[in-house]
Amino acid sequence: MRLLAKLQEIPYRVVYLLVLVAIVLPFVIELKLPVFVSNETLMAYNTIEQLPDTQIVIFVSSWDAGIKGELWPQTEALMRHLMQRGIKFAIMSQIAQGASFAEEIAERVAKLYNKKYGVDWCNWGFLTGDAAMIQALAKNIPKTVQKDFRGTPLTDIPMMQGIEDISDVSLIIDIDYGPRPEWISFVHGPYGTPIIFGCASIVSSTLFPYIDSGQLAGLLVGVRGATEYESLLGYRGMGHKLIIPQSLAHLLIVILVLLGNIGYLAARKLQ
Amino acid sequence: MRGFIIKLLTFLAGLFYFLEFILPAKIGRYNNPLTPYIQPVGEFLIVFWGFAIGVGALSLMVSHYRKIKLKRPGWAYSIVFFISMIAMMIAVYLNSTHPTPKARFMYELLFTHMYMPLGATIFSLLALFMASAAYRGMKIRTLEGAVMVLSAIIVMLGQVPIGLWLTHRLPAKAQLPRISAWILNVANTAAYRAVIFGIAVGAIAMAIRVWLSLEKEMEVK
Amino acid sequence: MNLELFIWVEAICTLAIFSFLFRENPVYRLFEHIFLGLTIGFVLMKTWLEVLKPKWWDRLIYCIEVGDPHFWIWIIAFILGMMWYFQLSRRWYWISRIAIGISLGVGAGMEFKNQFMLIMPQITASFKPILVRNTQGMLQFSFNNFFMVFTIVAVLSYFFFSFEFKYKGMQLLPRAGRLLLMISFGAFFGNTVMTRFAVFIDRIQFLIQQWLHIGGG
Repeated sequence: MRLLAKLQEIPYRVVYLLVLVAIVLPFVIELKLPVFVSNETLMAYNTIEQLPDTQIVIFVSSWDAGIKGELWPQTEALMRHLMQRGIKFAIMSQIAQGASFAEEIAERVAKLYNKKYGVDWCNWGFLTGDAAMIQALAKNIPKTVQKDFRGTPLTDIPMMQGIEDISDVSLIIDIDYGPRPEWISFVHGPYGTPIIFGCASIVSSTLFPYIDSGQLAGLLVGVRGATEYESLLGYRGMGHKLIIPQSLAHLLIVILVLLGNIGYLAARKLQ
Repeated sequence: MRGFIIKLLTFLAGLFYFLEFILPAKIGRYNNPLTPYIQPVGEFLIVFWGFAIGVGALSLMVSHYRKIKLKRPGWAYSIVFFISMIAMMIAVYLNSTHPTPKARFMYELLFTHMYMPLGATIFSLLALFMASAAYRGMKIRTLEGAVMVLSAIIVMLGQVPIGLWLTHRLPAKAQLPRISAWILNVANTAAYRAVIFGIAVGAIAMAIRVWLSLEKEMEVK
Repeated sequence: MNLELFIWVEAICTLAIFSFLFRENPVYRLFEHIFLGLTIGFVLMKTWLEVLKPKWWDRLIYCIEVGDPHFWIWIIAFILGMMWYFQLSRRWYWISRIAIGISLGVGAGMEFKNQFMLIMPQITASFKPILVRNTQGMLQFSFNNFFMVFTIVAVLSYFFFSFEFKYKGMQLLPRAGRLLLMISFGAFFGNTVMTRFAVFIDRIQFLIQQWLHIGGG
């Protein structure tokens, strides 16, 4: 019993070492595990599969370097799907850094599918203003955005010809640490435009009610959402690379929690 | 007098969007008179809030400048702050306006290979502390604690492939990913929806108080 | 050649920040300040190039050049925008309250539409049929719907403080609400672990595979 009670006293350095071993191991020994595709990821996939190619998609990428591990694979997977289907999209961001990250990913993915800037995708850059900007954008896109992030007027960009307002947009994708519900309130609510969110796992619990009510057409949750989407697209990308070490890390945390509780119960019995 | 002007401007600023929402889209033959102004007002506000972004940056610059001027401990780091700030501004400007190979190299070095890894690593520091905190903190002392720990374990294992691998021989409904999905889509959705209702009522009450400048903090002395 | 240099720079930056895990040290502080400087520089220049220059400066200059009388709108935008900066002055701080007041007013005005559009569908989605018939999996759907409706009512009753639940029977509902809320908190914790580890694993993956070239990828 005394030995069991010691299970709750594992030194923190040992815990750190165990975590590091659990994470490094899959990079050294290749492990393949089955991926379960969740309903909310499948909804997002089906939404994009059914999009017409006559309208554009607004791809809002408002994430920063800190959450790159979760949202870079999501952004890449969604861009791959859009380019694969030949659907034109415009990147924008509600933070200064977001559009630059999305631009990098779009340039890499565009090379795979032979897509050209200005014809198949463009980058509107950084737009401040939150809800006021969203409402203005819905009413008149060229007047609100005016120029792309390179300074080219929207009227000179081939894919933006004839794009006036929200009725010319088939879908809005918002990839953010915590996607803004203002897209639901001010775009989906009044105009019915479908919205897909891609978020960090930590805030995903708060977005499931919008899936249930039909206000969201799909939700990608963290790195597992990216992995599921990659499975649906049939390729093994960054999501697959990160999810296996993630699996072992989670298993380790669960084992540690159970050991800690066994130790705690044993210590209580000893007292 | 100052306080009155500020309260009046606050009220008028909010009145536009409030009336635009409250008034119907069509009143007889007439359309909502405020709706056509949503876009120009939005444009104005984009610029207005664009100017606000510099305030935090300026405050930080003033703080670091004072540190250098008064030679406070760590003032050398403040010089590094200014050097990296100016370097990044030059890199971004040149890459946007004169995208030569040298400009591209500087931008890639500073943004993609310094800013991105530094930001990602700073955010990742908490992972190890989280592991240690979970091990020490998640002790089952009450029924509520047990429910919370069980829910956390199911969600942690169910959302990663190992959950499916551990339970793939069980019937579909008993597999961890499906139980985890049930917890997220049913139990969590319902509980959080109730929380959303409370937040909404609070948000509207707060909005009214702010709009009418009823908050004490909004008094101007 | 560039790629090798970039990878080494990235590795040095990553390891410098990770050195904090041992203890705070000068190398960590140096790179922390570099990061701060890079962030501020990036945000300021991007704001100018992508927001203020195209949407304010170019518009103002164009209006003046063509003699458009609406140029005064952009002068007012500049004046109001500059009011933000009076936050840094102790004497003229009250001027910044005008900008803050306008910002708060706009936010408050929009909040009514925001909450209405967000919450009304949530309310209608909460009314679920407790008995689902004539469909595959009707038992599961019925149970799920009942569970959802019960949870919403129970959790709402837990946060209801306007009057006391005197009778023991009435106290069962808030107690159930508290228990059901714990399921949500547990899920939240599980998701928190997922996010923290995902970003950590991303950095370890870079160090192992791209810097040290261990393992595939």
